[in-house]
Amino acid sequence: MATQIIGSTVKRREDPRLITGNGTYTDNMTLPRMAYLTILRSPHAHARIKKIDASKARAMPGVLAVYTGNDLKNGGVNPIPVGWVLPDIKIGPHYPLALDTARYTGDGIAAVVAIDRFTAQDALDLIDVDYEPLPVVVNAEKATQPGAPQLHPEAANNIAFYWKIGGGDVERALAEADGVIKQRLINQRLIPNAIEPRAALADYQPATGQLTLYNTNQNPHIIRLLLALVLGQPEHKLRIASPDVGGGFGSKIYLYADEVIACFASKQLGRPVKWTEERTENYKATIHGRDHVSDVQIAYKKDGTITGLKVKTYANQGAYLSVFAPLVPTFLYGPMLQGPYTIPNVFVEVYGTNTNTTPVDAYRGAGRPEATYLLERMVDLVALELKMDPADVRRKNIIPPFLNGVYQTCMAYAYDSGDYAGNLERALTNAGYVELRKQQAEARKQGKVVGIGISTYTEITGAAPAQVAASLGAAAALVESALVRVFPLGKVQVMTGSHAHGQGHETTFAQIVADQLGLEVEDVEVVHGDTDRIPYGAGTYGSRSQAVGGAAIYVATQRVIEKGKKLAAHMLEAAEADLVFEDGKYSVKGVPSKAVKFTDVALEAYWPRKVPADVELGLEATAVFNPSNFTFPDGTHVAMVEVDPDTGKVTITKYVCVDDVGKVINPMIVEGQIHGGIVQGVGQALWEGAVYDDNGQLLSGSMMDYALPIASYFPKFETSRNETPSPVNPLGAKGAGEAGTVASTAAVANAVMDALKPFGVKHIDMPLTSEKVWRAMNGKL
Amino acid sequence: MALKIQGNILVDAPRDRVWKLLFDPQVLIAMANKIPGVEVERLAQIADDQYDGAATIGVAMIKGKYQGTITVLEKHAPEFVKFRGDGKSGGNWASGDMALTLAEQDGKTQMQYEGTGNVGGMLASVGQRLIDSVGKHLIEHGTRALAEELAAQSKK
Repeated sequence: MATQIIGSTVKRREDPRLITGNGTYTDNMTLPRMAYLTILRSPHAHARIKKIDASKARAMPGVLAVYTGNDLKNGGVNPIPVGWVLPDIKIGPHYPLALDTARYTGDGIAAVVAIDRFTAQDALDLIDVDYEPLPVVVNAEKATQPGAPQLHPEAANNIAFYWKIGGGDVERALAEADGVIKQRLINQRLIPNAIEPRAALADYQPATGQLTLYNTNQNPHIIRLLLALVLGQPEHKLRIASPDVGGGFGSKIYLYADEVIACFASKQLGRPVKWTEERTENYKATIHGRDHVSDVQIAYKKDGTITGLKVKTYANQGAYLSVFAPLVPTFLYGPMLQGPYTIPNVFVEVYGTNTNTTPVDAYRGAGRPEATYLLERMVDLVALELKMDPADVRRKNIIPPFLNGVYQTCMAYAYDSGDYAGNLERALTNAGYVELRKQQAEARKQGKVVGIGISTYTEITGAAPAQVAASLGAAAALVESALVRVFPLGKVQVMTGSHAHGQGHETTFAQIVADQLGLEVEDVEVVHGDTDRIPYGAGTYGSRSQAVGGAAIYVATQRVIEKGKKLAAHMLEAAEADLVFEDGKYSVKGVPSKAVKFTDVALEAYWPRKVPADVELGLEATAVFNPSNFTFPDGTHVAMVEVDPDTGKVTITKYVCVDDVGKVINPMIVEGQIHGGIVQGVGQALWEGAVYDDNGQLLSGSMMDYALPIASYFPKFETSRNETPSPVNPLGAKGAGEAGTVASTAAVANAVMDALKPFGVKHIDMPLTSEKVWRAMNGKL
Repeated sequence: MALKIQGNILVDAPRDRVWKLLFDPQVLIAMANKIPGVEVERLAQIADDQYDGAATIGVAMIKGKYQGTITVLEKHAPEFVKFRGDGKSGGNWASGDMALTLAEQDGKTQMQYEGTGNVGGMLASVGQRLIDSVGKHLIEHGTRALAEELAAQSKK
């Protein structure tokens, strides 16, 4: 029997544990003598801290310590570093607790450690802080203007970085075009909303100098690296262990101040210290996403050919540069603005600016939803201007199939493989596009407000090929390790650096190994989330887990097979070169009866009988995978919406998509990722938005004030896939975690704009709430 | 987030009496305690034009123990006064100014008020849906209580 476990639907092995309430989350953990940490956060968006009087809090029974920013600094705690350093970047130091200035509502001012959570919470009210409020700026563009309040002396005009990239000659394209459309597009700020808020439990052992941090995190090894730098704790005496993690969407990638403070407090007090984020803290102290203001010019010919795109973007970075913040509006955004099209001239410049808001970093899609939304809105505006069908403008410009090669864009990236044009046609066919247009015309006659939107995308995943990143001027590499360990009775443990937080790695990674070794999925245990058990890793984000982490597992498994072959040769008394490995057996080529089972080889590896003394025993292998290129999933999404003419409420009536996420390990898990991704992207199109007032107060600070999508808002999704294997990794995987989010925002926004066409509306900014849509229909914007 | 308030109320007392009583901490305490959800812990005059105090203010989910100061910014006896108030409570702050214009009307006093307020911290981020109505509730009850208290005191 030929096992084909890769590509088959295996039910998620982690689910029985997780859905029966038997998962272990950081906040579930209790250690002897554990103390509790709470953090006093600035209620001002920008203020000088004149005085902190913590004497009453310190005197409160049960309070063990109160720390301020200067206590941490004097205790040797360094600012939290930026992990993706661009040339000429200006970094205002981010101390875990503010030293003399609070720069956003949520900035930590002081920390209390007490013997129980209630005391720690109550003691916060006893800390008296004398603030001198300073002028506030919340808008990324206004922050750069003369006279704007300055956040950091290091970053003049609040510009933390200026980055540009281009290809071709965009000025010439604009000058020679038949037409140019100018549009300002706002990609609003979003709040990630993982179901589990963050938590940290630090456990310092004074006797050994060993520090363990249990936390809610997507990449323990990166946290170890950063924490070693911030605390001065040697990395070989530092363990990061993230147990089950309840979602992250990017927000749990970074090293946060709270975790640093927990570690500092544990070292100071010599006892475990736990911090658990409240939901209202989560809204302010965990990163936000998106927040771009872009001025766009698109050049086109009368026949719909797009000849140039020029973009100037202000990317709000918030009060401090978060760990990977500079990566998002640059490498993951700028070069992706050519999208799936043959646009020969593109130029983008990005101002990453500091404002008095929560730091912004990667949130599901990270840069690519911003790029796709921008490009797809502009393509529709071209169609509107030329009175062409939006599908035809896309057909005119889409990159032709390149199944076995690369497509070099006019900017830095070379797309790995794809049939973008084919997927566009497949999606239109699956949607019954021609029929939908007829239905729309009929509905309009009946006074209904109906629209159809298309979003054709390509995105960038599989971060990060070190050489490609370096060639573009970034000091960063995100490689992934795997250790495949075979036990004497043939069971296997896989240690992976790609720590899952909902993606089902315990299932899909086991599928890869079981498939290769001819074992059952149950024979393979996947270990993740612990730096003491796993050689190295960069974590789970950017849809990288299969393309980089899975690839490392595949390579390590192949090495195990090769190693086993040496042992099998002695067991079969045959030359190694004459052996083949198939269906879990080593056999002599052409003599299938002369075979030895993999599990028997495993026993021989530890209890040798036939293997001579000079052959290396044991059966395990490690691989570190550094991909040769990023991967580039693509696809087309089609949405149909109906707008209530009386209320402006948008209802999605049909949603069809075709995605190419490369070779699929587990179709059901990919399907789930696409579904979740679509929902999250539509959330941005229709409902979500973080709102600050002019004082820098976050007005959308709870789930009562920030609208999240729920299942009943959606029709059944009609998904399908077209697999074009990526040549970049041995699995052929590209990445599925963000594709839905990258595509769906523009599909639904375009559908709403199409619905509003009879009202003379060309563009309104997201979120397309009932009120905004109603105003647009009634000329009351 | 900012809120604006304005309105007027007729006080059953002569303007000169109203003017004097307006700066008496005892009157202000009695007035504030009449507002549902407000309990004054202390209020004292600490300088000519400055008061210092603490109070618990709670309406619906927006509750807190505030301490703060009231400063007289501008004063033209007996017809105009402008106050500024600054308060803080744990993770919240509130500040605002209020101008009162007093006009005589048949032996009574027509009191016109106009002000703006700002709140920050938790109040703003989870209370923004309520803050407008809570603010109006406090001001409506407050001005009515002030009118009652001034009328009562002036008859003593």
